Amino acid sequence: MSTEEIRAALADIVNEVAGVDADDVQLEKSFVDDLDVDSLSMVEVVVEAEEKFGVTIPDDQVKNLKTVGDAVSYIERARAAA
Amino acid sequence: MIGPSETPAIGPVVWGSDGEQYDLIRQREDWRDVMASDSPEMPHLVMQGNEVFRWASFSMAKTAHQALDRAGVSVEDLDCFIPHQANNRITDAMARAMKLPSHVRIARDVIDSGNTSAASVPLALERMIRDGDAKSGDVALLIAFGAGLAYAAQVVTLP
Repeated sequence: MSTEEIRAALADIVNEVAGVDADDVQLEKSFVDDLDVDSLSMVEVVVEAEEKFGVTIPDDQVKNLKTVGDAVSYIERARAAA
Repeated sequence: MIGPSETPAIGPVVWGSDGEQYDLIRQREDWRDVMASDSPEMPHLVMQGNEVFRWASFSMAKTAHQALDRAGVSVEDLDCFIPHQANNRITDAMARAMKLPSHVRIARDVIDSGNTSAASVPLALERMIRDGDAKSGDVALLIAFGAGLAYAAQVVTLP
């Protein structure tokens, strides 16, 4: 999957979980400050992302995923390492 | 009151506990240490919220499906979903993870009554009946979970 494909699939998850317009889920956006995704919604996004992308995102890593770009990069690295 | 019946209306229970996660919801200070202190203070209840949310929403969705399987019904057969009233966010996440159809009515007693702890499922059930959201003959999925981490789920036909 390309970076853009991962971003788009992640945007669909954020839309489903938190009701955020998928078009707003761009790489530079902060989950908390820009998209209003709180810590519990973030847990849901992470679990759905793990399933969708076949990766594991440990709880202690989630706090480092501040922007959509952070999450996409993490997923890309995890997929490359798998 | 529960008595003998020709028609089974109480499904098998799927239950258990996951002791490896004992520290996600716990009392921080041991009562023995508290009482031995010269100036005892009330102990604290502590919870690792995100981890509990993840377990309650997603592991419990799987447990719920096991209870449905054991009862021989699917989510489509359900009329009511009555989970432990811990918080509405867990209920929402669990319903999404279970892919609960929109026709299933969901207990939301937590909105008015808060988390009523070990009594939450029967209180929420009674509330649904009183409000007309549940009626005799409805197929309901009950599920409770909490510290331990302990859980139980079953399908019942409402009397």
